This record gives sequence, structure tokens and C-alpha cells, in this order.
Amino acid sequence: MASIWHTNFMMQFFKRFRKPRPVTDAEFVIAYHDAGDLELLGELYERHIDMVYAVCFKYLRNDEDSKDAVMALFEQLITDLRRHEVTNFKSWLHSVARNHCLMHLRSRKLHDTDDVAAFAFADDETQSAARLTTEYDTDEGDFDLEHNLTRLEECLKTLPAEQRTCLDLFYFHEKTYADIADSTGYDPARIRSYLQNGRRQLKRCLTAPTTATPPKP
Amino acid sequence: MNDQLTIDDLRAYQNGLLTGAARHRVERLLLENPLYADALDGLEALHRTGDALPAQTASLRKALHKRVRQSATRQRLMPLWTTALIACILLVLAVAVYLIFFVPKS
Repeated sequence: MASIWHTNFMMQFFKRFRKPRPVTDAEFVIAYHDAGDLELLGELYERHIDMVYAVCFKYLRNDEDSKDAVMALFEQLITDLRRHEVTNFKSWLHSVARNHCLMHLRSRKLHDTDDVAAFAFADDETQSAARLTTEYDTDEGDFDLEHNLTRLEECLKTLPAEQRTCLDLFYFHEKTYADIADSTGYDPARIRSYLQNGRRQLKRCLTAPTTATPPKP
Repeated sequence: MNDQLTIDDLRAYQNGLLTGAARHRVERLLLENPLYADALDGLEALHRTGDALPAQTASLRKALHKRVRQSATRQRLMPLWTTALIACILLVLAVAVYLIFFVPKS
């Protein structure tokens, strides 16, 4: 009995001196930023390693290069995460990975059409390099639909019919791409781009100054 | 509501294993987060080459563990050595002081 009490007491005693293990990505980032413990960074990176590899494979289309990129990115993280305070790790990691791959492509000087398009994108990205070190501003940002319901309705009316129908079915009726293709007869491959373009136009319309009336279709 | 996707969600979506609300959730997050859209494009490109993701990343995990161990042993053992050294010196000093000043001379 006494020995059990003794063991418990010792465990409680040592717990006071043990730092709590990080759980979320943000906690890992802060813990690594403060202490520089590579094991923590390794654990965090391992959580996302499949995603990073997939992103690299999208751009590099080659197993060997993608694996090299994943390991090179880890080395980059070792220094960058000590230097910068990163608030949204996943988005930050994505932009770092994408930029790394695009730079690699550029150095490979490939000229097929896919890569040329990717280079144009890279130029766009490098101009806003500051975003890499701070929170990555996702597409949505302060896109707050709830405060703009009236405007939303007006803006929806300005969209082309396909985009409006897709947005309506997808967001208000929670249909999948396949359901939308079934009920509208649209080409399933086009639905994603209708939704993307519709979202972009809606955002533009909603964030435009309120005095300007939306253009008629 | 969980607005995070794992690589397994993306693979299930890619293989057509999700239906209804689960499928809609993945599609919604794919539109919202460019990371997921890029990763799915990568998975599809990988699928076309006939390779499987787990096989590719298993070797990456090994390489990562190796890389972490390399630095960990170097960085972590140093403070241990210094602490041990300081403890030894203090012990020797304490014993010496005791022997010189406190042991009654016969």
C-alpha cells in the first residue's frame, strides 16, 4: 500500500517538471519555435508528409524529385519555423511547398504547357512573398456570407445561369458534383470550374464598395 | 464542424468510396482550401503513373526519422554531459572540503 502511494507521489512530483506534450499543429509550432527540438518538428511534419508529397507530385510529376523536395522542405522548415511565427501551419506549409516546387520546375526549365502555366502562377506568388511568413490568406479571408445576405441575393442574380445553378445546388441543397450533373445535365468535369468561378465572382461582388450597383447580366 | 481533411479522406474521395454528405463535405473543402485541391491533383497524377501513395511515403517517413535522430543525439547528449561533469566536480569538491576541514585529526 505504502509503495503504491509512494509511486503515485513520485509520478505527481515528476509531472510538475515535465512539459505538456503539444497536441495541435499550432502547439507543435510554438513548442518548436521556442525550444528548437527537432523531434517535435519531425512529429509535426510526419502528420502532413503524405499531403506534402502529393502536392509536390502534382507539380514535379516524378517520384524521385518529389521525395527530394519533401526532404528539402523539412530542412527549410528547420530554419524558417525558428525564425518566423507561423499562425496557420497547414496553409503556410502548402504555400512553402508549392513555391519550392515551382522554383524547382523553373530551374529545370521545362517548357511544356502545364509548366508554363505554373511559372506564370509562380510569378504571381513570389510577388506576395510576405504572405509566406505570416498567416496565409486563404481564398475566403473575411468573406462573411451571413452579414451580406441581401447583397448576396443581388450578386447571385448577376452570375451566369450555370454558375448560379451550381452554387445554389451545392451550397443551399448540399448536392455533390455528381448529383448536380445528374439533375442539370451539365458536363461533370465543368461543375468544379462553375463553382470556383461563381465563388470568385460572388466574392468580388460582395467585397466591392456598396454604392456601386452590380452590373446587369 | 470539422473543416480539416486528411489524406485518407482525399483517397477515399478519389476512389469513389464516399457518398452523400461525406462526399459533399470533401467537395466543399476542396473548393475552400487550395492545399486539398493540390493534394488531390497530386494523388490523381500519382494514380495515373500506377504508384501507390503509402509505398512512396513509407520510405520518406524512414528518411525523416533518420534525419531527426541524427541531430537529436548530437544536440541532446551535450547538456547531459555538461550536467554530469558539473555534478562530478561538485561532488569531488564537497568530499575534499569534508576530508580537509571536518574529519577529526587523530
